[in-house]
Amino acid sequence: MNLVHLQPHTSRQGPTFYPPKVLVKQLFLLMLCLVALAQAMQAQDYDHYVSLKCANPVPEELRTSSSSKYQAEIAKLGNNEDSKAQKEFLLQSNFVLDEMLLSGKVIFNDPVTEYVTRVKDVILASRPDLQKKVKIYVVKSPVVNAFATNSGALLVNMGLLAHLQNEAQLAFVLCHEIQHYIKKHPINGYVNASKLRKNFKSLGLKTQGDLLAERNKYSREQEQEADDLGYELYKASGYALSDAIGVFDVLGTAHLPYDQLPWNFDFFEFDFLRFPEYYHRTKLDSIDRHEEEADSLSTHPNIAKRRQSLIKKVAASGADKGETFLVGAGPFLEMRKMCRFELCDLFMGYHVYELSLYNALLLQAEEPQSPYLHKVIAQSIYGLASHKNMSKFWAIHLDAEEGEGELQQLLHFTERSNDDLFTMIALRHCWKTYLQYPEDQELKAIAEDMLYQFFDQHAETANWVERELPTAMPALVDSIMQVRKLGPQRADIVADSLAAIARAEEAKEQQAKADKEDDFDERGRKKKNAKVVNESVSKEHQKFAKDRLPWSKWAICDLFKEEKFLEAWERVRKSNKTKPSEAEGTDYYVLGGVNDPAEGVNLGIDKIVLLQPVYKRVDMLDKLPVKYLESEQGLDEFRDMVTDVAKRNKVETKFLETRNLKATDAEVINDVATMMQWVSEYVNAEGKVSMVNFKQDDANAMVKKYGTPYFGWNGVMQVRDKLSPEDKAGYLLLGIIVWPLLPVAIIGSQLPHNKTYCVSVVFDVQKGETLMEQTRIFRAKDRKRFVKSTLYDTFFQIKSKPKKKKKK
Amino acid sequence: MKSLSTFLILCLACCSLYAQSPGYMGHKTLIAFTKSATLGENRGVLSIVSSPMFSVERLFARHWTAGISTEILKASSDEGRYYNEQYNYLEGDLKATSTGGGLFVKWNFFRASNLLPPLGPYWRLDFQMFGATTKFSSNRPFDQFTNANQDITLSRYLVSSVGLALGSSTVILERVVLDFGIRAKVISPFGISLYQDQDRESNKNLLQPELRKLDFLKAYAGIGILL
Repeated sequence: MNLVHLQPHTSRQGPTFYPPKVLVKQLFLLMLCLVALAQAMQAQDYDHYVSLKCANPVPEELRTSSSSKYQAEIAKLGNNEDSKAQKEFLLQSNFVLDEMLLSGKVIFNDPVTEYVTRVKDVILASRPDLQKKVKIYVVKSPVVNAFATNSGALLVNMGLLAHLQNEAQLAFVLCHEIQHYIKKHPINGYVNASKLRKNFKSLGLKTQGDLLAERNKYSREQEQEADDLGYELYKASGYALSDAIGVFDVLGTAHLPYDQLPWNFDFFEFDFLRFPEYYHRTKLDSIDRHEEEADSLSTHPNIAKRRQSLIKKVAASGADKGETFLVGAGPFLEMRKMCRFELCDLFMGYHVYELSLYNALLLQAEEPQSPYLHKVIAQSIYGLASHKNMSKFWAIHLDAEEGEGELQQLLHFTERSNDDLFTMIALRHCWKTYLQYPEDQELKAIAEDMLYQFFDQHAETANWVERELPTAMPALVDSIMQVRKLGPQRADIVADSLAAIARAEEAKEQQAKADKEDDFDERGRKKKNAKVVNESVSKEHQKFAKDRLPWSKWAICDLFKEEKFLEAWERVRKSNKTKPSEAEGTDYYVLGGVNDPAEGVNLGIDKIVLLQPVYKRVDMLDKLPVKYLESEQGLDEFRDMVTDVAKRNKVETKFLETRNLKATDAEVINDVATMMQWVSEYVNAEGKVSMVNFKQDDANAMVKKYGTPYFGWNGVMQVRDKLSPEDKAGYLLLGIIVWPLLPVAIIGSQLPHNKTYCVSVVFDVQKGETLMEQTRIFRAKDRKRFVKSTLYDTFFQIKSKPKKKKKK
Repeated sequence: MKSLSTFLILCLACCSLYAQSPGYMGHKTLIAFTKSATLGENRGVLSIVSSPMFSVERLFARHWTAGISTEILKASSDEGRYYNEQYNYLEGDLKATSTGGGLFVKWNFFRASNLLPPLGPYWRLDFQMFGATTKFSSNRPFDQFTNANQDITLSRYLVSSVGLALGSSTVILERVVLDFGIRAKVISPFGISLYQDQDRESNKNLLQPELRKLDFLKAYAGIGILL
């Protein structure tokens, strides 16, 4: 735009006058500036990375109920021999897809989805009809995958986007998935599987394995077709043909992090801690691309075959004139970076702390000063140490023997580190990070919890440190500068000398103590054991120092220079190793604790937020066990019941759910996702490992937003199934005891039976406590009176004021 | 009796004031009419003998309900004999009626059913006092001087009973409670005699064992309304 046009016309006497056209132009420019500013403000701050969220407007398909979509789709189906299987597929796919889209794990209108959509629009530039039908959704999953659905929704995992090398590769993946949609592969695959099951014998199939092999053969044909036709679409889109082949490199290393980073022991080592050879893996396994694997039982042809097929096609296509980036290299790299940052959160969400640590270290190459990455590293190490301390490490550890490349060294290190050592390393690292960012409350909580864990789980080591370090500290601090001049073996030399100092000082102290004591008994004879005790204490101490802490004994020594750490150390030591959350809140009111449904609890809650209520009907004896349509209808009734009983009990409720959304409700989906993540973290911690919830800050924001710390969840599930062998035996036994009832018992034991599960949970999100957790099982259908009575009781307990306890 | 009932109702209401019991959708009081039945001989014929019971109950704790009930039990025989002062012998019918009432407590066994009262299975323990009256009646006159339709009270006793019931109840139409179960009751053989007819030859206590037998084991079904 020519700036001259923006010059205002001025009258000689009067004030500045803007003709309407110029005014409009100026306003337009101002708007553009504002939009640019808003976009700049939206740009990710990698120092304080905030996980991607959905933005308004909520897409139409997410605002329509699953049953409505299903009805609309079956109305289009003609009558043919496959219509029954097609209806089954449509029923399941609509409900399952909607459940996923509304889970909060799928995002829309965010920068990543917008970028992928732009690539899709480039590909389908000549097919405006398809451009509208094909919708892109990005899934918050670290798995390298993408998939197409029958409705035209293409779901692309962040794991895949983080691994891709360029835009052209993304374009080829999208072309492949678009062909799945065009060729209706999802529904055809289901119909084919249904036919195979139906004609099992006539097709000469003998075992379930044969059926699976036949089904997967069809799937492999579909994949090959999607590759072939996808390439044609890709070729027409203007991307460089040879770039598509790179997709198979990505798929071949999908089981590994997106890059290699040599594990540097310096990360944990310092002047007083050096890891012996035992912790170093001498030989790392080379990277296996997983390309030549047997695919006879796989849904996809193996990567080598697909790669060869594509190479042939590219060679046959002649000159490669296309571009690697059509939307742009900058946007691609930005998008990929965001996905890589997201991986940190995703790996931590799945408790794969070794990968979140490795991923954060990889990202530090790009953003070395990012406080977010420092925090992720501290959280990952804290997560690993906590799992080690609760003997759950092996449940989350990736086997070093199965690892490849540089990652293997990290896995080897975590595997070899004993709980004692790793806790000390984690303690030091978490405290160092917290001291670097003292305003971060979550880091503070992590650092303090690590200290509690150290005292609680490694009392012997903590006591040793307690005795030794304060004595050795003056010498230690003084010697730090000298140590640096000593060379490679400096840590051991200094450590040994410091231990010797400590031992000598302790012996001196003990001697002085013994001297002060009355060494003479009441008869005037000198006590025999006065000196002997000191000697035995000293020997025991020396043995412990030598055997238990041979080289790692000074792993946290530099923390004792820190005032905050010393203050926390004293506090934790004096608190008798009890976490504040365990000690507080129970002295006056009878509050908290997972309740016994028979006795109930009294919570005294006036306002509660209810997360995604669930209502399911399942028939295990049916081919399609989940009764989707009845469940959807039942959920409406269930929700009404909840509203009714809450009102009767005068409990103010707010549903936080992804049903009946409006176009402006993206925030609701985000809030549901936030709380679900908190619950997921919390449930894991409660069930397995007690540790700080990494989603606590987000949850605290929800508490502020909704004006209550109380969040609850209610669900009902009715299951129809055969009687268990134990129940059958019970029936028959009853029939034998009360013999006139034997025929009834025999018939009863053979009939299917219903069970209804009513579950209610109430959390105090702020305190991180479960206030109520009750599951009631009725041996009956989900009769309204049972469900209502249970719900009423739940809300009665929620509302009832706690009984006052006498203060001691 | 009236003041006793009022007192009991007040006691129950006070008990439930602090009770942490939800009831069914907040309804904690139940007024019920129950009919219990057993197989028995009536005038020598095997038949179903039924008796009505009226009760008012209220939840006073999470699994506990207490209430008051009143019940009428009848037995009859056509083998009655009565001798008047002149020793005139007369045959007729004997009718025994037990009218009484008392307290009961119900305990829902939640752990088996996961249901809270008034829903689900329960044990009920009854303590009752009965006024048992035996009457002789005949439509024939003793002699020319007496009128027909004799109706003579032979005895009146006050007896106590303890009953144990195993039952289950359910709710329909939001407020209507259906109740069913079986009940065993032991009527004390020792009673306080309130009245004895002077004639000692009459079979005035003939029906007391019959009443005990009839009330020993019964099935019952009832209907009630939640308040």
